[in-house]
Amino acid sequence: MTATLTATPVRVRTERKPGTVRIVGSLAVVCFYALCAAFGPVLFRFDPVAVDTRNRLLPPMSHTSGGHLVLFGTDQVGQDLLAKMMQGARVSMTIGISALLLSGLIGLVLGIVAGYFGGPLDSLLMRLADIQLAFPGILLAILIAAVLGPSVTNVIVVLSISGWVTFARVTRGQVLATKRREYVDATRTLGARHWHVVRTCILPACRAPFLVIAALHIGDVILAEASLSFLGLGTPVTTPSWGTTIASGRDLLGTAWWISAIPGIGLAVLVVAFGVLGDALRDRFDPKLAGR
Amino acid sequence: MEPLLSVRDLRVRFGPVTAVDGVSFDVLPGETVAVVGESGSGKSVTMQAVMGLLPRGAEVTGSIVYDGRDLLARPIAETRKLCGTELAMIFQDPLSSLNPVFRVGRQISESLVRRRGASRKQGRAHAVDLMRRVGIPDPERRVDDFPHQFSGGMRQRAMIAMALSLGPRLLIADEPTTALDVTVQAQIMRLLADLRRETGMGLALITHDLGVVAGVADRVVLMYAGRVVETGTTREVYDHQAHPYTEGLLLSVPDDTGRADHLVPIPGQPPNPLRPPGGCPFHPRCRYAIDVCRADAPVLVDLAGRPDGHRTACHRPEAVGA
Amino acid sequence: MLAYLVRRLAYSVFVLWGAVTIVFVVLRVVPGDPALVILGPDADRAQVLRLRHTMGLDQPLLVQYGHYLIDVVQLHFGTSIRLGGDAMGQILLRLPATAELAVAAVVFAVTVGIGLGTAAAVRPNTWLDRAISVFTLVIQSTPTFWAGLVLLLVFARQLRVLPSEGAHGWQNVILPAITLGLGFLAMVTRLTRSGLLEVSNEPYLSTVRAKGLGERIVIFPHAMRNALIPVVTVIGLYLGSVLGGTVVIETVFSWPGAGRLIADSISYRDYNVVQAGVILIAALFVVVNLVVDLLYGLIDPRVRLGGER
Repeated sequence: MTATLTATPVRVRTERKPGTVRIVGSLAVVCFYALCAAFGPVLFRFDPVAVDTRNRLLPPMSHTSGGHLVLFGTDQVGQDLLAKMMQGARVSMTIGISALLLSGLIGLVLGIVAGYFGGPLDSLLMRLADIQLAFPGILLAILIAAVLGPSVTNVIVVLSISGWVTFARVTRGQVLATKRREYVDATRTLGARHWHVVRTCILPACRAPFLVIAALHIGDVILAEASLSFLGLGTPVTTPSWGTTIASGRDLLGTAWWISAIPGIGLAVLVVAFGVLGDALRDRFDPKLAGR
Repeated sequence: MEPLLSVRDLRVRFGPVTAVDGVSFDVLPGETVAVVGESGSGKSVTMQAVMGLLPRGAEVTGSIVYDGRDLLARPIAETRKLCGTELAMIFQDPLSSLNPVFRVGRQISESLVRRRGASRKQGRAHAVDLMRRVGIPDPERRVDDFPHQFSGGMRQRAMIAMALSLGPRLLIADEPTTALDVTVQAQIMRLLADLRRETGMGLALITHDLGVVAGVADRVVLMYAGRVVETGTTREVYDHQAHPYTEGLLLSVPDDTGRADHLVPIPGQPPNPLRPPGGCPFHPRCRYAIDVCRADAPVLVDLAGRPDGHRTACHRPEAVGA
Repeated sequence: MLAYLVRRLAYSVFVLWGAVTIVFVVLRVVPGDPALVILGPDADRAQVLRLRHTMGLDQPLLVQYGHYLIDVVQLHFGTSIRLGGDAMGQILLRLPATAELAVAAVVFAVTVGIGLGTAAAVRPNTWLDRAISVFTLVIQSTPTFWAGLVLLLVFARQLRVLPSEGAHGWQNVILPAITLGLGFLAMVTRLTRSGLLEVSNEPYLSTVRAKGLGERIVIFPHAMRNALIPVVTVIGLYLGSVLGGTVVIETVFSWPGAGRLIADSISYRDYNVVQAGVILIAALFVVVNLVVDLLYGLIDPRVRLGGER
C-alpha cells in the first residue's frame, strides 16, 4: 500500500482555545514536582548526611529494617531514593528557576539597550551573542564551571550565561517593532520619558514570547545542570541533585540499577512537561514563533 | 468512430461538496475538445478524475472509459500506468509545476529514463529533441538549465515537451495559457494545434476563456456548477447558443475586432457549492428563468432541429438568443 | 557569490577570535588567581609565585593577551601537566576517535531521522505520526548521559549483546554513537516532517504523479530535495549538540576521544589541555557552520544561478 504525500486535511476548529488541555496537564505535572520539591524532603525527613548501612542498596518496593516501604529503593549509604529524588527536585528546580530568571533579566535589559539605542551598541551585543554561540552545546558552561568549581551559585551563573541570548533577541525584536509604531511616536511627543515607553509598550509585548521561551528553555537548563552535575561540575556532592545521584549510581549499574535509572525518568518527565507546556503556549500565543 | 475517452455520469464529492455532478462527454481520437467554465465549475476536477489525480477522500462514481476500459472500475494503479504513456497532462502555472531544483532536461526525460529504462545520456538527447520540437531555441544548452532560468512561455513549452515524451494519445491541458502574456498565449495555442496535427493525438483543453477556444477546438463542452450545460461543435455552439450561460459567456467576451463596448457581464455569483440552488443551478442568474427552472434540474438532451451532438440542459433553449 | 564567501569567511575568523578571547577571559580573568586554581588551595606561597611567573601572570593583562593570541595562532597551548607532552598534541592524538564517534552519530541520526520524519509526513495526524512526535519529545527531554547509561544497562549488562567499554571494532561504536546522536535525531525527524508537509501542496508534485511515476518517486527525490533545503540552514546549530555532547558521552562510555580527555583534564586541573580542547572544538564548530552556510548557496539552484536568460 502506498502512502501519498498529501496536504494535511483541515480540521474543524473547536470552540475551546487551542492547547488548553496541554497547558493545564503540563502545569499540573510541574506543580506536582514543585510540591514534592517544597514539601517532600520535609515530609520524608531527608538528611543529606545520614548514613544507614544496614539498609543500603535495597531494590525498589522493598522494606527497610525499620519497616518502611522504599518505593524506589535505597542508595549506597542507605538513603531512601525517593526522598533523595525529592531533595534533588528541590535543588534542580531552584537552580532552573533562578538561572531562568537571571538570564531572562539579563536578556531583557540587554535586548532593550540594543534595540533602543541601536548603532554600535546594538552591533556589539549581537556580535557578542554570535561569538557565544560559537561554543557548541554546553561546552562553554563546562569551561566556566571547570574554572569556578562546583557550587550551586556557580551553576546558576553559568547557566544564565548560556541563556540570555534568546531573551535578548526577542526583546530587541519587540523594541524594534515597537519603535516604529505610531503610538510610540505619539507618546514621545507628549513628553513621556523612555522608561515609560518601555513599561507600557515594550514590556507587555514581550510577555507572551517570554513565557513560551521560558517554558522551553527551563527544560534545557535543568538538563544542562544534570549534565554538569554528572561531570562533577555542577552541584557539590553534599547537595544531591538528580545529576549527582545518577552519577553516583554509575559504578553500580549492574547491581543497583535503580540509583541511576529512576532519577533519570523523573528528570525526563519534568522536562517533557515543560516541553509540552512551551509548545502549547506557543501554539496559543503565536504559531509563527520559530520553534525547536 | 470509437471515442478515445468517454466519460459518463461522473460524480465527484469531497465530503458535503459535490464538485462534479453528473458529467458526460466524449473525446474522439485526434479531435480537440474544449471544456469551458468559470472557476468552481468542476472542469479541473473532472480531468483530475480522468488522470487519477484526485486527493484522498474524494468519492467518485460514474464511468471513465478509455480505450474500451472503464478506469473507475479498475484499481487506481492501472490508471497511474496510463498516465504519462497514453494520457498526459499539462498544468496552468509552469513555474510552480516544474520542480525548481532539478534541471529542465532531466524533468523532460524523466518518464523515459524511469519507465523505459533509458540511460541519462539517451534521456538528455531525447529531451533536446523534444525541446527543439516545441520550439525552444538553443536546446543543446538550455536542456541543462533550471526552470527559473526560463521565461514563462518557454517553461510552458518545456511542460508540453515533457507531456509528449512517451507519445500520449490524449493530452489534457489545464488552462495552459492563463498564466502567460497575451502574445505568448497565441503562440502556445498554435503550438498545441500544430502538435495535435502532427501526432494525431486528442486534446482536451480546459479553459475559462472562450476567446482561446474559437480557433482551436472542434467541439466545446460548457460546464457550470459541476454539470455540463451545453455541448456541440464549436461552430454550432457559437452560432446557435442553446443555453443562457453560453449566451452570457459569449456576450462577455470581446469579439474579433476587440471592441469592448458591448460587453455584458453575467449578473450574480457562481453558486455556493455547499448550498446549491434547487432546480437548474443557473436559474438565479438567468434572464429566461421560469417556475419550472426553480423546481426541476434540466437534463442534457439533444437539441431538436439542430445537428447531432448539439446538446443542452435547459428548459427553454428556444428562448436563448432569440 | 564569491563576495559572499569572502565575507562569510572573514566573519568566521572574527567569531573564532571572539571565542578564543572568551576562553582567555574565563581561564585568566575569571578565577581570582589562575595559578592558585591550578595548584589547589593547599599549595604553598612559593609554588604559587613560581607558577605565576611561569605562566606570565605577573605581567599586565593586555600583554598576557597578546602573548596568548600569538600562542594560539601557533597552536602552542603549553604542556599537559598530567600526561606530559604538548597539550594540543594530546588533544589531536585523540581527535580521530572523537571524529569517528561524531560521524557515526550523525550518520545514524540522519538516516533514522529522515526515515522517521518521512513516515510521519506521509500519514499526518495518524497514530504513527503522533507516536513519532512523542518519541522525539521524549528523546529531547531525556538527559543524554542518562540515556547512555540506560542503553549500557540494557544492551551491555543485561542482554550482553554489545560491549560496554573500549573502542575496537564496530560493535563498540554503536551504543555511544546512538546516544550521542539522539538529540540530533529528534531534530532531523521534526525538520524532515515539517519540511515535507510544507512542500506537500506544491504543484510540481502533481506533475510527477501526472507522469505516472509512483508515490515513492514523488517523495524521493522530488519532495525531499526541496523539503531539505530549509533544513540545511538550521542544521548547523544542531550539529553543535553532537560536538558539545562528546565530552559527556565519551565519559559515560569511556571512549578514548578528545572529549573524555577534556573531562578528565578538568578533574586534574590540567587547564592547558582543557584550553586546547575547548578551542579546537569551538573552531571545528565554526568551520562546520561555515560549510553548512555555504552549502545552502550551492544546493538551491535559484540562489546559485541567476534568473532568466
